[in-house]
Amino acid sequence: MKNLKVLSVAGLVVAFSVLVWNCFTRSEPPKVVFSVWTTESDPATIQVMEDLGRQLIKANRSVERVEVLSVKWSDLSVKLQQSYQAGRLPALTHLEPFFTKSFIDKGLLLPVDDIVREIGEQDIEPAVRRVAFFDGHYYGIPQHYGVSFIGFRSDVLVKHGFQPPKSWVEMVKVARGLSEESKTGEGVIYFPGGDRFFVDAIFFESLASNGGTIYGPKGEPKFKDEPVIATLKYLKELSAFFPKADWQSSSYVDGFPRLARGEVLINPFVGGRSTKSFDENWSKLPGHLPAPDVFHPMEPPVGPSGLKGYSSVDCEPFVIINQAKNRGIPAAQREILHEAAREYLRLLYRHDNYMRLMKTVPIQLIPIFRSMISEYGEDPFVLRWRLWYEQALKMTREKRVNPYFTTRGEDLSIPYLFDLYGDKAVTDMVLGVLAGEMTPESAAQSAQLRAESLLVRLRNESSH
Amino acid sequence: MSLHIRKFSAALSLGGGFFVGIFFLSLAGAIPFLAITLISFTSLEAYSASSAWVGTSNYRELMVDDGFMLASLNTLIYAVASAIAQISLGFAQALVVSRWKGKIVRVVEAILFVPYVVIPSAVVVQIWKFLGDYRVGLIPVMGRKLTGVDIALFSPDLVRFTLVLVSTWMFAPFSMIIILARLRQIQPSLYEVLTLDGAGPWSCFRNITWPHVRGAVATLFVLRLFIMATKFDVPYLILGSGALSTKYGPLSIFIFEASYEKLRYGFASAAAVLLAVPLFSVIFALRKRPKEYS
Repeated sequence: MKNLKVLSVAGLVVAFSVLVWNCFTRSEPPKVVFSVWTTESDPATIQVMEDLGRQLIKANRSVERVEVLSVKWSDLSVKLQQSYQAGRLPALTHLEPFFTKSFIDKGLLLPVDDIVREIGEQDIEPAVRRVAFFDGHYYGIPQHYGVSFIGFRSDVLVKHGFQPPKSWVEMVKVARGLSEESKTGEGVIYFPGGDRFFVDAIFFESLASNGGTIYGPKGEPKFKDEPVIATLKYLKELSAFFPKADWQSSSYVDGFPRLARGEVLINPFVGGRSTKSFDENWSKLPGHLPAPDVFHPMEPPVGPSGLKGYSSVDCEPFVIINQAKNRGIPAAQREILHEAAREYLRLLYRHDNYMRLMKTVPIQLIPIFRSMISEYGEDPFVLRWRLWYEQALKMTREKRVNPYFTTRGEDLSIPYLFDLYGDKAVTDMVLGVLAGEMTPESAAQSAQLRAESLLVRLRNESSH
Repeated sequence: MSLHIRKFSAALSLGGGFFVGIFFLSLAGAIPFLAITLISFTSLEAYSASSAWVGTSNYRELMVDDGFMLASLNTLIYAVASAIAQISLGFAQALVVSRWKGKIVRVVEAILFVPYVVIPSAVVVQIWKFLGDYRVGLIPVMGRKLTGVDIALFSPDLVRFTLVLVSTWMFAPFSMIIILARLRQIQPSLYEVLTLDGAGPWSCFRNITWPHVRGAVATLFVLRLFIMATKFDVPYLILGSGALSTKYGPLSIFIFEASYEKLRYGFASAAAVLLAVPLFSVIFALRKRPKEYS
């Protein structure tokens, strides 16, 4: 009897152990949390991206959860660094084109040639197709393209008998005339002096419109060339018409409502998303004309050494992060995340999803696919603001747009772009001139020396 | 077990626990600083798994960096001016509140304390940006109406003052609470005696109030100096990333930009060490002073 009891207990223990063993060692694929970062902040855009996440979870059982994080573009670099240190890089993220080469050199990105071919390589707008193409491979796909504009109050210009200027000389004349006519004493040209990203962008646009560049044939810095000096002089002339009280602390986003309220009459850098802001702000003010008849985009005026005016193009590519560089991710999950990123991109660029995404911020998010341009143009908001849309298309087709921090497409291959941006050599040069602390020549000289020191340091560090 | 042994065991446990706690707290403070100091002798950069030992190269570079020198000067000005302003305002608030009696005192204290505990820095800065908006803000509009003077709080001429103003508004309540606690410990009879002898308010302050609070004020000054010297959020939110931050930014912004924009962790760590060293020196200097205040 006693033996029977012992045997029964032993049998139960064995059975229980086998059951527990099965529960904890059944081989299931690991589940991952898929993280995608975007520089878009519009809630409607985030909603669409979250919906894409839900579609991904349905399609891929290994994805447990999708996190969509909106990161302000000026914080993107900071956040990526912090995530790298914490071993928490996202699987998929937006990137500025001028970061991309640097990230590729650090082994942080995976090629996406297959995705580009699947979604239709030749259908992608040529001006932005290769913003992340290096060493024969695509490392990113632009989510959209959005052209920058010089926005102005056409009602005020017309009232005072001015036409949109076509050259720098005319621009200064118009600004002076408006300043005298408006008598506000407040300044007629908005300048986001508190936002270094846009200080740089305005400089590069103006430099491109003057036929200039700060990069030599081999990518070496060339700040002291005449077109650069002339650009600094031009911006200095324009600074006489900035709001003196606070241009040095003004932010990019404040420029839209201030143009809307007539506190400034020209804003040298507005994105397509500003049309939404104009609509909202203008409706709160007494006005006799509809907003699209009041707020117009200006063709970038041409400098003395230039032939055509240029704008910037906002075309942040989506890139797939190499999870092998992500210390916090177990090896088993890395391939799952890579594949999930590819699936997410396929879902994003699928026609229905993609058009829905683009229409969340019309004019700013223009589809990269040429075959979608007509359909997109039939959106009621786009039709309403068609002047802006048509200018964006025209400048893009004429290849008069450059990614930020460049004046030519090939500048993106320069390996130290990201480092030069971080050094603030360009920002300090421009602001030093605008604030009256340096002459254009001395500012350019100072920037040249800084850029050269930067290159020496980078060379020394890479040789260690 | 005898009572003595039980008491000894209890004391040992409590004391041991106390010292263990102090030990780990010290580690928590010391380890990051030691790590930063080590990194400052390397060329560690963002996205790098390894770095080279560069000795004092980062420090030598900082010594000839105009941006570092300017940021150091900005830090000194901002920290000293803010500390003095915060304590002065906090002292004034405490003196006024200490004279009141009744439940209203608690309500007033709570209201005065709101900027410090309730409102996040980002919101505080937004409030002041609205108040100081050159076109529609209350301060410039009233300034123009009452005095005819243009007050542009966020212009280069006034932004240093604005930094101190916003910091003072936000952090003076901390000083107020500390000083108020000291003031409430003063026996009212001391003032009565002096008043009966014909002493005026200034004499009462000099002979009774100040001797009781000067220890707290000295401690507060050192504390506020340290905190303001390392403050990042308020200066960064006010100065932005453009023209004003280059000219008026303190070392906290310089270090942030060196880390996250220039991607140079070794260089940034060296700047952080150079910020910490004078602050530690102040602590050591104060430790050596005879204890004048009880």
